[in-house]
Amino acid sequence: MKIFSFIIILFVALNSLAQKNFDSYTTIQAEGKIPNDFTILSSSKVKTGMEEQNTTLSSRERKVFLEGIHYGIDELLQSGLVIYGDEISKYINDVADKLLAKEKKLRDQLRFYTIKSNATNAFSTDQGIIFVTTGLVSQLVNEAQLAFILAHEIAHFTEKHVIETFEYKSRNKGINYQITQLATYSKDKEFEADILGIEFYQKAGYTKKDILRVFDVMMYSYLPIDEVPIGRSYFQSELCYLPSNLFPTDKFEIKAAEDYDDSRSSHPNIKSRKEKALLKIESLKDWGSNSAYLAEGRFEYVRNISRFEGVRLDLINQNFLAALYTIFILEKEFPKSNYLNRMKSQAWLNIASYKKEGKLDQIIPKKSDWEGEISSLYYFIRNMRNKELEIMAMRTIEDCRLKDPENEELNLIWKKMINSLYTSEGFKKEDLKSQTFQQATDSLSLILSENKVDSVVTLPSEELSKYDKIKKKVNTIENGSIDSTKFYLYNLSDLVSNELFNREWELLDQANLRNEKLKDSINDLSNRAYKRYIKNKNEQTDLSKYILVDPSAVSYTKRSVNYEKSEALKIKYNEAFKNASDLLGLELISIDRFNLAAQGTESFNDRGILTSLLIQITNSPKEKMLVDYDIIQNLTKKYGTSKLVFTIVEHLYYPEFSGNIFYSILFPPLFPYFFAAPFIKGNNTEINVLVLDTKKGEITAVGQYFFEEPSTKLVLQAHLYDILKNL
Amino acid sequence: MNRILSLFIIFIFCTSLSISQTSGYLGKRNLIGFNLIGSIPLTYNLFVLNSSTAYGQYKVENGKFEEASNLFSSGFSFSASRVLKNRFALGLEFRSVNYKTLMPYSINIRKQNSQFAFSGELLRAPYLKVNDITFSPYVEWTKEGGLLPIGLVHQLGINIHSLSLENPKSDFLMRYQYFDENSNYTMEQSNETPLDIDQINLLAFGVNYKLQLRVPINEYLLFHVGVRYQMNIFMSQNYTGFDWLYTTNGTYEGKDVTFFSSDEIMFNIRRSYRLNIAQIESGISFAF
Repeated sequence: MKIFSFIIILFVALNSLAQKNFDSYTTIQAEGKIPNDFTILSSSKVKTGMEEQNTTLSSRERKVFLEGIHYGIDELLQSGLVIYGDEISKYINDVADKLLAKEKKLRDQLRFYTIKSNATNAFSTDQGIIFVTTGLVSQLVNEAQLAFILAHEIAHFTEKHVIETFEYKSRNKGINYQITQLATYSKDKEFEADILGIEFYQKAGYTKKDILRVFDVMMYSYLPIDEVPIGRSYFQSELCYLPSNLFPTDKFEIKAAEDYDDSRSSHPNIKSRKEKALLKIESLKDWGSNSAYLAEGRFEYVRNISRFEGVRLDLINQNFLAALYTIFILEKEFPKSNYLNRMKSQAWLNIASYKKEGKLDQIIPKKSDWEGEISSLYYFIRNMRNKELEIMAMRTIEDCRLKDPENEELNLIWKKMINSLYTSEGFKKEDLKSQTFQQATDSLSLILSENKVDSVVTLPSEELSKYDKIKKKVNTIENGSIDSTKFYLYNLSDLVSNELFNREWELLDQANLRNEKLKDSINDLSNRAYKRYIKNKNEQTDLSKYILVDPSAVSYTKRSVNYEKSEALKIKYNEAFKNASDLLGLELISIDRFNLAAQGTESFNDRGILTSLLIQITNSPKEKMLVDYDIIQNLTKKYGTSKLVFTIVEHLYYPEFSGNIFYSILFPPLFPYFFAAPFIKGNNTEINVLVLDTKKGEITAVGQYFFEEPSTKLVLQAHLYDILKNL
Repeated sequence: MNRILSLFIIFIFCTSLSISQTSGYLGKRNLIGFNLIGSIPLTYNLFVLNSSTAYGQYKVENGKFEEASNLFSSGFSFSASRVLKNRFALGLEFRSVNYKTLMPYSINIRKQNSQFAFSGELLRAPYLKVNDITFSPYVEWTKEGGLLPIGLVHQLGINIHSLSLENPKSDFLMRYQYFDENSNYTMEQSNETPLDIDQINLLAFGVNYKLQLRVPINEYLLFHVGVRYQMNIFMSQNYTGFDWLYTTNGTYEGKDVTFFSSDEIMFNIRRSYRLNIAQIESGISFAF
């Protein structure tokens, strides 16, 4: 009995802990010791691979292959999107353990990592890494489905499909090579992986009923995590009236089909995969009945993490409507989640900003691509006019703030939204009504009944004149009026008398007045004084202490990227940055891939957060909010600076002699000039630097520098010295 | 030398105005450089020497004239420059180069002794050495994105040349030949120095363009390599310095023969400049 009670308590405690985590969810991060895959340099991996003689490839082909897989995959590993040791990766590893319980040797060769991406994907590499995206986990139904996907990817690895495909491509370069041929070859590999995957899966004792459902997951993976109708009732509230014409009456058909044309695709269509899988399933005996081996509830927990992460990723990648729809689904299970509340506010702030900038088309798919229940959301957002949408955003943000009025992030979003309203063209606070739409219509009915005033429009609509129709629409009466086309003015009735809102508005009024005065005084300036003003205004970025976030480097040859030189350039560039900063007396905190082993997982996670911050800020419109606001604020405190420097150096060496030979023949004394110059001018180096301020949440400086010089460490250092000095 | 040093100090002073955006090389905007200069008249060797219009060009090798194809000119230079803006600098250069001016003519002075016999003098000179000291203020610039003093640098300078001819001494060779009725001949040869040209000084002006690549070796030193083109305009008033060289050494068919006229000397100096229009130089600079 005691044991039973203990289990109950433990279960409740774990459950509440999980629930708590989702209420104040923060992005999943890597945990534990950094695996060697992340710390060993790509060049070392290639070198080791070259020493192994287990392929039929020639030495040159092997080098191309190894460079391709190692530099490419390492780039992904270092992108900040891949994590290890987290709840999802642990879960995937545990499923893999079950799957390969009888294949110890094979299991030891494999590593499983999670990619933070909403793409529904999993893939294996020749080096034995299997990646699974959070997007895939968020779409699955149970552990068995994940197990089958892992089994499929393991089969790709055991059958060496990556290197075989490379070999096939290399060998067929000379002949009249067709995409369809490669597609057929690739499809055969997929069938093979399905068949072998089923064998792995069956041996592990999982049930056969989940295999075919995995193909459905893949087919409908482009749709959100669930198909739940979203409509007027979700958005409308006591304080917020929305006319029914803002919502669609028809459903949006789901067009995906199993037997699509796959002649140019690398993967076979779902129908043929299902057919072949079914044949294999039927050929095997002794099927197990397990849909899950691991602890009950663990799959759902991991899937929820993936779904919460999906919301974050959608916001970073500007898929605000997809984020809103996922939030709508998750709110049912997590109604008190502060995280969902904050993300919802952010989504609305961004949607309003896009609308204001006239760029709504960038965040809503083409109408022809609308499918499923999420399309109602597209319809709703698209059909709102500017002011309607802005007030709807303000309404939602206010509602979210009221759920947690002390939350700093929510208050900041709230202020940003007020600022957006304030600067909205033609918007006047005085136009806002102090009654809700319902209150207004109730009052109107009362007036109508008290005054016995008939509605202006009593005739059937076909008998109405043009003016009657207009009046019907506006619904105006003598002693009061409701313009139903301006329903949105009633949707902020609580804010009209809200002290905080009015104070914020007043502050904006004062700031605006100051700006007007400043503008006037600037207009009065002489040319010289104006230039001086501009010079002083464009003050330099203070980089006395800054974080250098993993500088990138690419070295090009005439036709392609030289991976080996790129890595060497990256090391040089990193050192040049440090030296230049030292000479200028700037304190540099480097978060780079070369010191990962020493800097540890914490630094790895910091880099991931800062990289996603860069993606978000470069994508976002003017009014935005940082998705990982809390984490960023903590990082700012931890490192003692809000300045982040992101940079990339690119170098191309390509001397051109063609014209020079002609000039040298024409005038021989110019031979030394024309002979030497191309060697020197063949060096093209470009440095891009971007400074991001985490406090301001914006890019404060951007610089692009090009020079025709070799990219030696000292040359880079000299240019960086100049860049850092004058940025 | 003191005058040059004074000019350099004035130059540094004049250019010491600080421009805050200018970084120079890691904050160092002054540069003192040393160059070794070499010039192989490649164009002459490749395109003129074997043509029908070629002038003879000789060197003395084991007491004999040998046809020479590349008379190497060499020298050195010191320069000082200051970066005023990242893409613009001013500088001064002191340059000393030894040219070898070609003396292509052999002069044959014959005397008819009898119907079948004659005697004669054959005079040849391999080259004259000319020492060219050049003082050259220059501007320096680089393409957009460049960062002086490093990288690919263009220079345009005004040259003030002071030329002095060096006595060739034993490089002159005289030959005497005798013929008799039986067509026998004898030959003697000796090295003499018929001319004394140490006193000749020549002032010239010109312009030069230089393309130089400067690559940093460390935080203070830069290695550079480049090519320099020059074009000179000689001052005619100094031309008279050669007047005393008019020498009559013999007659041919009753006429006096002039060995080395100022015309010839000037012609050859000019020609050697033309042949040395492109010079390769390399050296190191100290940035501070």
